[in-house]
Amino acid sequence: MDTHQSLFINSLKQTDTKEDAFKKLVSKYKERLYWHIRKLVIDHDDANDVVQNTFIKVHLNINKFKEKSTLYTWMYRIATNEALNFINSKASKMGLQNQEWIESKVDGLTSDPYFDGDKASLLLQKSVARLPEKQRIVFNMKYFDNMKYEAISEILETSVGALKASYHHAVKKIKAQLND
Amino acid sequence: MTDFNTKNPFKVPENYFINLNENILNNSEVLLKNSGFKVPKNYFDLVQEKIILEVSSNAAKRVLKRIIISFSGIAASLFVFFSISYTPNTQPVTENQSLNNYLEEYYIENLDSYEMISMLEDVEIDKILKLKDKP
Repeated sequence: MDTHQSLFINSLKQTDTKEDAFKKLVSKYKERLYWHIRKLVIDHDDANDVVQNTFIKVHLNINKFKEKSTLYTWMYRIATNEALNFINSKASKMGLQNQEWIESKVDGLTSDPYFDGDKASLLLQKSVARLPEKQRIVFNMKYFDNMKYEAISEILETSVGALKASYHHAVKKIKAQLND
Repeated sequence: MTDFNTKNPFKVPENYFINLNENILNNSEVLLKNSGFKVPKNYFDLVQEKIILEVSSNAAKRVLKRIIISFSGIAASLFVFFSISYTPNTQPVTENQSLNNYLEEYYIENLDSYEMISMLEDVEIDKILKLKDKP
């Protein structure tokens, strides 16, 4: 990890510099984390809740961050887990499987004021929603966020080989559905 | 003429252009590949303020909780200390002893000396009288 990042992490952990450093952290990463979360939970209001919870968790747990990965990787992992926990919670309250809940959210995009994608975008979102959870996450991170497999591997704590296989299967399924 | 390319006085941080390239690509591609998702106007400014407020409020609540727990601990310790220090000595009182005490007090309060002596056996009276020094 580079010196600059180590110094920044240090300032996040010190009581007298924590608040200013945290403001900079939020300013720098809020959009990236938001869009990652949004692609997982689909709905803006849900993404809003999850992104706030993510940053609160980051603030509460920054002193436990061991710097074994980059700060962004660590935050991205928290965001992913928060989004998945959110989906689990919402789906279970409605008596649905996670995938069913996601598909119902995507079905609602046609009347969502915060979605102005064309028909192709909507079809793509529906196809992605039908993927198993792990494949959906990998597809979102690789295709939409254009992340490298090594970075995804660090975040999801999965081997690069397994990720490549997941992505390959995801692309295959999406192509088949779009062709239909 | 000097070669300006080889005598460029300016420097950049290590890996700057690699990182710059990546950053620009990442930002533009993230924007392009949002696939129709939008956010309300000024959302990212508002959400930042909300996050900072929430975190500050949580921090204040944690401090207050710690103070309350500390004071409760001190109060509980003081209570236990004073409870142990001021517990009165109580010995178990047997039934017979309490009856004897009652009777003794009754007789002392309600009988004069002649009445008390009259209750004693003759043998006991003699013993008591013999204890006195003979003139």
